[in-house]
Amino acid sequence: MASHRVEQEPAWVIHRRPYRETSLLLDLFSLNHGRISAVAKGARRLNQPWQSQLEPFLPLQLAWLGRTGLKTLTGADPGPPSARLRGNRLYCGLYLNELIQRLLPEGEPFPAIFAGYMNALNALAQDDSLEIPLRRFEWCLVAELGYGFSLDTLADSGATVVAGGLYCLDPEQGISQLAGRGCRLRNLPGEDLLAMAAGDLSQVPVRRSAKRIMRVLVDHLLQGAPLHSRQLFQ
Amino acid sequence: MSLSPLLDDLVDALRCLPGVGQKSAQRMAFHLLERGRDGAGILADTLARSLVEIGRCDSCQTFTEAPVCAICRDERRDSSLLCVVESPADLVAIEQSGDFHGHYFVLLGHLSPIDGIGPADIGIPRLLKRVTDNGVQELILATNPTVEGEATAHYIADRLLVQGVSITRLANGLPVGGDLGGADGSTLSHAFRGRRPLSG
Repeated sequence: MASHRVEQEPAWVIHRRPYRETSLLLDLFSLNHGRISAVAKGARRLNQPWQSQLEPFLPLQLAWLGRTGLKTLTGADPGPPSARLRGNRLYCGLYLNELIQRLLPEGEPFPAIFAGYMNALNALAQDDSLEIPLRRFEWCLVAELGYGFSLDTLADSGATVVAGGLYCLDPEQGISQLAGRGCRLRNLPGEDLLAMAAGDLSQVPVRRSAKRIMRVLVDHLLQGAPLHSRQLFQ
Repeated sequence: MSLSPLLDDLVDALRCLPGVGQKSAQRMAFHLLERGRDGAGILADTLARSLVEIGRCDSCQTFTEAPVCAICRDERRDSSLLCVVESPADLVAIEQSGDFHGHYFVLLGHLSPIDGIGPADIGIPRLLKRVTDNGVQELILATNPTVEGEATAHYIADRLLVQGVSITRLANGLPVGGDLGGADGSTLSHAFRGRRPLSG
C-alpha cells in the first residue's frame, strides 16, 4: 500500500486546471507512484511560486499527503534546470502528455516509462529530430504496457525477418509473413524492421515505417478513441 | 432533513457557481430568502435577461447584447492592431490598463488536447479569417504565459506567418514594484531572455 506521506518524489506535471478561486488540480506523473491526481491549494495566489513551478515539462521534486484518490500537494521544488520546449516541440510534448494521461492506469509505477519520458523531453529540447524521441517513447510505452513484440522475429513461424522481404503487422501478435485476420499494416519492408530492432532510426524510410507502426499500436491501445494533440500537427 | 424541495433545488442551483460547495450554497440561499429578497428578485431578473440577451460578438467573440460589441464598433480604435486574449476577463484587464487602442479577439479558452479542446473549439478558424479579411497589420498574441497559452499562440502564428502580418507576443518578466530576490526561477529566466537595451 502506498505510504500516507510522500517526500522528495521526482515528478512531472502532465496537466493542470484551475480549481476553486486560488487552487490548481494537477495530473502528475511520478517515478515511484505513477500517474496521480493532486490538489495544489492556493497555487494561483499572487506571488505564490507554485503558479510558475507547477507547469508541464519542468522537472520537479514533489511532496504530498494522501493514500488514495486526490492527494494534497505539500511541497514543490524545482528539479535540475531544463530547456523549455518551444513551437512544434511544445506540440510534441503535449502529445506525450496526452499519451500518458490516456494510457497509464492511475497509481501504478512505471519507472521505465518515466525514464523514457525524461529522455524524450530532453531530446525534444535539443535541436535533434522531432520524430526519433517520439518513436522511442511510443515504443517504450507500448512495451511497458505489455504490448511489445520482437521486430526481427516473425510471430507466426519464429523465422527471422530478412532485408528485402515484406511483412504484416497485427498489433496483438506482432510481425508476420502472412496477413491474418488481425492484420492492420501490410508491405512493411524487412530492412526497416531490422533497423528499428537495432534502434537505428537515422534513415528517413525507417522513420516513416516506424511512424506507421507506432500509429497502429497507439491507436490499438486507445481502442479507437481520438488523440486530440494530433490536430496540432495538421 | 429536507425543509422544502424548492429550497433544496435553490441550493443545488447555486452550486453551479465556481468555488461554491454545499455549505456556501446553503448560506447564500438562506441569505437571499431571509434578508435579501429584493436583491434576489433583481438577481433572478437580471440573470434571466442576461441569458436571453447576452451573446457573443460576431466580430471578436466577447460577451455583448448587440450583434457587434462596443469596442468593435468604435471607429476611433486602430483596426490594424488586433490583440488575441483567452477570455473576456483578460480583455477587461487590458482595457483597464488603458494602453491599448486596437481591437480584440477573444478565444474561448486555449488549446488543451487532454481536455479535448482543439483549434475549432476556441474559434481559431474565425480569427484567421478575420485577420485575412480585415487588413490587420499587427497581431498581438496575449494568451497566458502557460504551456497551453504558448502552444495556442504558436499555433496561430504558424498559420499566419506566410501572410506578412507582424506577430508579437506580450513580454514576460518581473512584476512592477516587486523585488528580484522574491521572483521565481522561471520568471527570472524569462526576464533575462527578454532583456532590452536601456534607453533614455
